[in-house]
Amino acid sequence: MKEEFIRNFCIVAHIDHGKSTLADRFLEETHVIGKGTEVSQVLDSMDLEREKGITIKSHAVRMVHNYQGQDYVLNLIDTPGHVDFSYEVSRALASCEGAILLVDASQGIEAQTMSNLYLALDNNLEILPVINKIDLPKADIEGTETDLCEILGCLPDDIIKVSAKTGEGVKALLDAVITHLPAPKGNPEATPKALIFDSYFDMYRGVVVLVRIFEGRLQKGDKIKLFSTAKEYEIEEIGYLGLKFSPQNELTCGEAGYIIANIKEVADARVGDTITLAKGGCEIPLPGFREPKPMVYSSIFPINGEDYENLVESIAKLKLNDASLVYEKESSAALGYGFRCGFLGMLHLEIVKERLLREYNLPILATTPSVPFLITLKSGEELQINNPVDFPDPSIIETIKEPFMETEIIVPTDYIGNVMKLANERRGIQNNIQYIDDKRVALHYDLPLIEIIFDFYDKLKTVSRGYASFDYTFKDYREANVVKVDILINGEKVDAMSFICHHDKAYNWGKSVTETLSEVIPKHLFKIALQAAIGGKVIARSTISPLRKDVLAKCYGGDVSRKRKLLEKQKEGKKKMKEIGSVTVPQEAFLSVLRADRE
Amino acid sequence: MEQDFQASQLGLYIHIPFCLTKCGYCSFFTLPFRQSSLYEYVGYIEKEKVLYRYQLKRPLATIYFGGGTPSLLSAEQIMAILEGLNILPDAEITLEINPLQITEQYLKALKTTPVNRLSIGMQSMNNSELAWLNRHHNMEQIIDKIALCRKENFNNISLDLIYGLPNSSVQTVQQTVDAYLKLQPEHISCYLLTLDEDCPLADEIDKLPNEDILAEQYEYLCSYLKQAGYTHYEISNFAIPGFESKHNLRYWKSEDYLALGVSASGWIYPMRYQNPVDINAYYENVKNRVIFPQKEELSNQRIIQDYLMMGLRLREGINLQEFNERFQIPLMEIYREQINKLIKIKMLTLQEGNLALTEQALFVSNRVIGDLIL
Repeated sequence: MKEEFIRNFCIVAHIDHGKSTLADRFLEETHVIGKGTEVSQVLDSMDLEREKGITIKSHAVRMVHNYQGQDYVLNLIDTPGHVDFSYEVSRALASCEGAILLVDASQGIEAQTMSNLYLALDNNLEILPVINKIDLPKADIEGTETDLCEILGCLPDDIIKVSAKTGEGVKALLDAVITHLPAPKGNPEATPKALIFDSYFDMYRGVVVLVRIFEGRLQKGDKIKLFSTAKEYEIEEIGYLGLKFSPQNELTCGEAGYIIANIKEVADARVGDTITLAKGGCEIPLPGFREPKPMVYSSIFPINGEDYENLVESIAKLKLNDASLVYEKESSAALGYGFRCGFLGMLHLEIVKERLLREYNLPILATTPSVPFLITLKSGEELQINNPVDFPDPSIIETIKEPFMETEIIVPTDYIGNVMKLANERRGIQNNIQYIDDKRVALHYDLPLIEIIFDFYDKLKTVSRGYASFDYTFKDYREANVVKVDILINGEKVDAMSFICHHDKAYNWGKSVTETLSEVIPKHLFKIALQAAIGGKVIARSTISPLRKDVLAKCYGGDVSRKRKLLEKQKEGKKKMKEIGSVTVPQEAFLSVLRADRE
Repeated sequence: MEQDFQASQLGLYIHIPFCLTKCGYCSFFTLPFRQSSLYEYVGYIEKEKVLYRYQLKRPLATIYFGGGTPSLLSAEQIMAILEGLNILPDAEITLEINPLQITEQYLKALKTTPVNRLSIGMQSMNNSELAWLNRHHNMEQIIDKIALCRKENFNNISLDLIYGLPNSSVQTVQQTVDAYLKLQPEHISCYLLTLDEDCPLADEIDKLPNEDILAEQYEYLCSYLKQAGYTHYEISNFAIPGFESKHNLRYWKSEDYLALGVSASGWIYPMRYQNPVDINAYYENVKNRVIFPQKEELSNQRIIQDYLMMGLRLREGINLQEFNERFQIPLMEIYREQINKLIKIKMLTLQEGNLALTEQALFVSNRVIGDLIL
């Protein structure tokens, strides 16, 4: 296919603004799927994605649309819908020449729309503004139009109005994709250069690599090289992506498709990497590749100790399909063997946990998440601490630095005060306030990541009655006054409960953790002391009074089996708990640190 | 071996499920009383007795009529059930009796049977408590009834007492105990009120006192009865020395007992069995000459666990030497670690070769015993 008849594009939108529904309409309009088939939201292939209403992985689909007697190939490249995956978003965007900016007429522009729009602009994408849900009674088409014009500097006439639900305006939108968005440019005869914008592990085929060809062509049988690993493979199959694989002899520049080349795990086909020929390949890769950098760390342990071997196997399998997950073995005095894992963000952590449970039937316990701290010791040695357990003794520390995020919060003006108060509590540093219109404002704060990962988003939703939207990217490391707080149960330090937090919050948090623990740990035959301590100094304590009553008053001949069952039930409950010293601690106690109110 | 078996003593439990009314706190299997039903039932007990004739060659040291309301049995029916049994001359034969059924006539009739111990379900000496429990007697009646028993020469009387009722306190418990002591019973069983989800008073569960108050009442009962000359020999049982319940001791010491009647369960080493809880299924079983229904042969480990579970209910606890002779393995060899842990936190004591619960362990004994054996 000649480049002039190809369009590579994506849809940039906030969650719930109708991206998936619009994609479904496109597929119907171009006869990829039959009209009215309830394939609803074909691109979201993981159960989890559909449940969470977000796209975790990106996908691509090839459509053919006839415009004025000419067939055009439209490659719709989907992007992940969560800030945890902003790097993956940027690579998907880099594979396109244009983007549809989709805004819900009843909701208006939100933080995520803005951040993805900026990403798209950074990647020199042509923007096609579209207002969705025009069929809704509460749609504010005019207001949304004004906002879009202000942000993009476009005219109201440039904006296309659709209802993805009813299909109104969808054909006109496909026409506009052809007329408004540029065709790819490249030299089909040049040395091949292809960008990996996604890869996933298929049980039967191995790793499927999704690529956009920028220069030259790749053919079945070609010996290829991946830049970041310098590993070489032979293309076994190459083709277009529809709902099914459509094998071809080659992909030429401007096209998007898939490659299968006997690659064993997705970490070997990293998003953002460049593919060229093994012999006589290009010298310089496409720009923008980055190693995944975990920003949230947490330790995971099997809830049933005997599942450890199973966890070792499952996490390795998960890794086949998740290049961003990093992990190493860890052993905890309290929880036994497990893994210290690095995640892109909290959502990524949640996804890994859920997948282990659903796909591998492995319930796990994740400890209080932490962020990487950069520590310089008095000796001059520099450390990155990803686990509170490794936190050095305060007396030998010179400086500690913590990661800060650049954040944008878009909120109706009524809630500015609440949001500012929250941001201040979380040690936010205000950069600027920008009025989007007379009703909404964008607040820009630098916030410590450690303050974000604990329920910041939930709190933000609460103080703004659900109206605030939030987005963030990594900014820099800054000096921080943080301390490690240990939790002691009857004098015994519980390694898996230690956490690092800002000095000024240590007391409240510590107190709250010991109180939560005192509610979660059942009464024992003896008194239990719960303490929070910094170094050797106890900063907060709670106690659990001893059990007073657990007796079967009547126990005669007929009751022996009944009593035995009672004791067995008691033991069954104990099995699910962890033994710390002589105290039996239920799994949920380990989540207390997370759940404890920190304010 | 045969000789040994023939000589080894046995206990016998006979279950009579019928009641005139259902008590509010009762979640046991009971049936409404009809004279004809009881007549039919006794017939089945007699048939069942014949099925176990081999076991029943053993000398009976104790017999216990429990229920339900076994005092619905006439003296003739009791005699019919006991007929032909190999009862030791000093056997303890107990009948649970409802206070309202204590009449001069009935007591006189009972005197013609070998029944020599009465266990009276009086529960309280507080009329409002009795009403709440749906018991139909009152404390004034009780005083007369006990006097009647004494007059008819029943010299081994046990009284049930229920504590832990809504609005109860150490003071109300003391009032009840004082009233009990005036009756000079040989034996008192003190039961903590427990309301199961399927008993008539289940809705009142929320009104029960908290565990601190209950523990206080229990501790008070223990010390007050001890002061009055009673031996606290089992978690819930108190006796004038020499009047401990021999039959119940068999349960706590894991000695053999046979059980007859619907829903009754027995223990003939190394096997437990239980009759069906459904009356018609029970009758079917007897007709079909089924013996030891739902029998379960216990592993040695299980027997040891049950032995400890029951034996530790006794204040004297487990005699280590007896244990060793019985199981051919020292107790400390099996449970050393757990025992030491529990001794350390003062839940168990090891004194004069006996392992026992401490005073403070009694009211949390489920937890202590569970920690020990499981």
